[in-house]
Amino acid sequence: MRLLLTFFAIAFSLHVLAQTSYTLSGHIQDANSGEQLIGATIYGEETRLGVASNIYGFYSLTLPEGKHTVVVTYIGYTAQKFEIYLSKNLSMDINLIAGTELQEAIVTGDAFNKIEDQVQMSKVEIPIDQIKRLPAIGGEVDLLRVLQLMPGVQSGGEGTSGLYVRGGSPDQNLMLLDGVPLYNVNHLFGFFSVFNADAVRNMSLTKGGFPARFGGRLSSILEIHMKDGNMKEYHGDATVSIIAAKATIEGPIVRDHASFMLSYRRTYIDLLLGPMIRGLSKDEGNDVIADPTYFFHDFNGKMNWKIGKKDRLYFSAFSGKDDFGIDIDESFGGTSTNASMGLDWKNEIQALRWNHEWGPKMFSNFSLTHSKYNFNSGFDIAFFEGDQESTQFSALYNSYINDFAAKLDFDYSHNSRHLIRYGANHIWHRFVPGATAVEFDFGGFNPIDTVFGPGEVKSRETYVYIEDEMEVTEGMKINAGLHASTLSVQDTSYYSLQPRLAFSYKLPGDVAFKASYAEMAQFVNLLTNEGLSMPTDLWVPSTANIRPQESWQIAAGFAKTINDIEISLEGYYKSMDGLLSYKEGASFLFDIGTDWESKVTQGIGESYGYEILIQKKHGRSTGWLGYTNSWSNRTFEEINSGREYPFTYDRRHDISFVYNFDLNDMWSSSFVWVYGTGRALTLSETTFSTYVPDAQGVDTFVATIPSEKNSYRMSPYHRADISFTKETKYDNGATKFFIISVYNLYNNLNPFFAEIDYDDNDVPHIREYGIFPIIPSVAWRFKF
Amino acid sequence: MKRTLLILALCSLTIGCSKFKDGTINYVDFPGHDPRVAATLILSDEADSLVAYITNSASVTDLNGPQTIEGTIISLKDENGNLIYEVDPSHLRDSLYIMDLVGQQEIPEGEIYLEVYTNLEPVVTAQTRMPPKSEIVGDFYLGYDTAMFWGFEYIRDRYEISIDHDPTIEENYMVYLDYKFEIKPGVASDWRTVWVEDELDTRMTPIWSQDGILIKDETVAADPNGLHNIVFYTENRDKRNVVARRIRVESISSELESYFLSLEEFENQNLFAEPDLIYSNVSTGFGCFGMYSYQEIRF
Repeated sequence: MRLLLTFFAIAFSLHVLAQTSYTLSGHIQDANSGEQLIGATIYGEETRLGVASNIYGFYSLTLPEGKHTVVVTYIGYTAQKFEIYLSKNLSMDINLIAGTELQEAIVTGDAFNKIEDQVQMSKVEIPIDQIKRLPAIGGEVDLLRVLQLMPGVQSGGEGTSGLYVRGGSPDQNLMLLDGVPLYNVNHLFGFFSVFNADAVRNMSLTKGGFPARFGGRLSSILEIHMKDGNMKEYHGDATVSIIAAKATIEGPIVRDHASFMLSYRRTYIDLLLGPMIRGLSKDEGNDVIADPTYFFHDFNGKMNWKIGKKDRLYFSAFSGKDDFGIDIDESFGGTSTNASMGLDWKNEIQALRWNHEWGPKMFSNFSLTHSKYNFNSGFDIAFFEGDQESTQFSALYNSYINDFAAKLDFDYSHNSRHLIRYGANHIWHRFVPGATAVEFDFGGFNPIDTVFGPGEVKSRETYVYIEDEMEVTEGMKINAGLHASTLSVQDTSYYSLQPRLAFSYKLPGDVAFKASYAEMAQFVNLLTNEGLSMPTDLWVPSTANIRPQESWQIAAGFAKTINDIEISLEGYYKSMDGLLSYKEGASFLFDIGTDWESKVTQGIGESYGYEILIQKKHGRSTGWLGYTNSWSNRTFEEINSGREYPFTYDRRHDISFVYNFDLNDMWSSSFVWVYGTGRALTLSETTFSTYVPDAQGVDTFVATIPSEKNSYRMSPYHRADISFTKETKYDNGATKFFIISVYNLYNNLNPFFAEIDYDDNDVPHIREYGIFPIIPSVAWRFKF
Repeated sequence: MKRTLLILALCSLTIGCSKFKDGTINYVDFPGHDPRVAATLILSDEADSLVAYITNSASVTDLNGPQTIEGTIISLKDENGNLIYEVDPSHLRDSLYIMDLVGQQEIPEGEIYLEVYTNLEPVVTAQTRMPPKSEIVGDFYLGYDTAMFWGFEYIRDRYEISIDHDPTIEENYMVYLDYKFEIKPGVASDWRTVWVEDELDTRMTPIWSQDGILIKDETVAADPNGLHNIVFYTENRDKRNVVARRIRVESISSELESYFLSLEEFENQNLFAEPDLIYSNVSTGFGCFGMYSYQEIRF
């Protein structure tokens, strides 16, 4: 701590002695829509001093007094160059004009903010336009599934959208939608994420080298920003695929002062499959009627107001829900049964944010946010004899997490070599990890009507941070910071001091050597059985008995850009403590009276490996090649008899190849190929004899058990997808897209799960089940 | 181009639908199995004999299953390396190694080490210790109350025990209730363990697979009663001519506690949970070496 403060003091004092400087500040935005551009670069050509705009498009560039040629660039936009004479601080909003992909005049590589110029490492960014062109199951583009194609990121299983980053669990990813954490990002049991690509402006994933402004999770920070809404004119976008339909509309409320964006998506699986299942379920002889329903929908909305030259207000909202249910009516003779069961889960967030410019060097954002995840499941069975109800049983299970938070962040551009960020955040958490209401009426006996399960747990989480992103010398950059967090829960307090350091040094040949160290702490946990990311997974807090998760990660690597192609090689080691897992044999089901804390155990984990990424982001051909070689292990005293075992998503090799190519002005194509080592699995494949003492002596028996946890590997996973997009432009500015895509092109049935299956001769076999064969699909998109 | 895309789409659809019909993929061979030694030896301080079960582990594909390993030598040593008991191939009775302990020395205090020498490498080792005995008193009440289970009423007997244990050391107890029934006039059955139910008491964990109750002392510090007034119930069986009752109280080693808990999980496999492993403190990962001090209260 003392070392850090001394470092900051020396760094400041060096610049106090510097010559007279003035600051050019303002916003960098899209000329046509008024959308703020995140990460646009502005620099002085003579001084080679430059900065990037923040997530609100604000920039602050301090240059020496005098004449400068200022260059503003942003990938996919036409660069702007202008001359200014700085003799005082200047405020200037800069509008960049978006270019089309085939125009050569646009910036295809950032001249100043290349990967080797950035101190941040382990960060993944994929342009949304590129994502929309990739092949997708059922034609429904999914942001998280695209991220799974990046090195260091793995999926939970075939077709699912869960993220496992550098050997971490899915709860170790902080998923921020407009700065608000989302707890369950899955639709359709994880086959789709809740993020609607049409409502999203920008997405980035940080896997390591975390700056001090981020905290609360061990493995990654996923930042997704919704579109602000067009300030100039109305635009719309509608897509129909075989899974879902969605529509987005945006436009000015008051031209150049206020705008809105609304987007809605709904699946229509229920409308297509419902009648089919009802028809198939009709059984002759008996009268059985099954009536299933399932749908998901989500809504994104955003409004923003420019209150004055220095203030801007944003309101963002998201709501997403999945609803599954089935009613079964069966009658036989004089008796009948009416059974219904269902589950639904819902996410909602709201965020009110206020940006204020305190001067040319100081920018602040104050946020009030709310995030809630709610899961319900239940069933109701009633037996009838004639018209008389004989027995009735119902159970309703409810689990939720509800957060309110206030956050204040400051960006202070001391000069163009120092960007200091500091701030504080306070979150009020309310958890109900799972309560079950049961009603049981036998008709004649006293009915049961009771509630099982743990009560509500309230906790308060606070953090403060400070970081300084500085250019120490030409070619050497450092981001040093400190993140301090605390949790108060059940009369217990936890404190965590987390130093963060990222370092970048440019070697001869413009090759950057980067290294980082980050400690993280996490106060919320997801209890999951390591299979699918299910809505039944429980969010539980750290409590007086459950200590927080903690980690430290060290990473180092090289980065260079060659002809607009970014190349990076990174190695990492991550150590984790306080990991939470169900004890062997425990789950949230069938033991509703037991406190969840008695079902879990805490342990340690480690993951290490290296990643290679070769990526081209813009131009006629784009895409990337990624490779990961990694190990991830866990050790829990009460699991696997205390011995270390491979994590379920320990994957030795992971390769992804993505290639997009514009065939001509009308047609473009995209190709994806992925390969991954088979998933680790626990199979009961070993028998041995043992005994227990009993009243008469001993009772011997043969047990069939797994020899070790996760000792078996499913077959390797590999798949190719392809898509073609036809783009038709109309004179009135509207564009129509016709997208045909094929998932799993060569029809490799990848294992989703495996089990031991006994044949007619009682000989066991390992049987691997696949769920997605080749799936062709089409989608239509129209935007104006 | 359009025609090519149409043909591609139709072919994909046709092949895809046929695969959907099957829905599964290939059978995969089991990985090879290297047999390991499974060793279970659970010893009571009051036992007349020592029973060891030494088998090889086997793959589920091996239809013969695990077999007792002949020619095994088993030794128990104290913490100074002194031999306490040695079991040799002459003690093999059917599939178990059984050694008469009458007249043999008692198990000393401190760590006890197990070594098992077989034709499979390496030598199997494990360690445990004999838990101390505690003072135990108990009482019972016939026809104490009525209860209901899934709509059926039944009469219950109430049993109560108090264990005067040393709160400075971790102790765990397995408690069983055994009955002898009159199977014909003047002839009693062997002891039979009957099913018991606990109260909502954090000190007690039902072990359904063993028809017993595990009493843990972890929570005793917070309980003013310590391990006193432990109450459990069983269905009244007077109609079946109960001729004798006893409560078995076994002070078990921590290894045995883990073993019984894992057996309980194993017997009640949860479809939604990861597969269970049976706890082992034996170096090969299969089996258990545990000890318990035995006491009983007869009524």
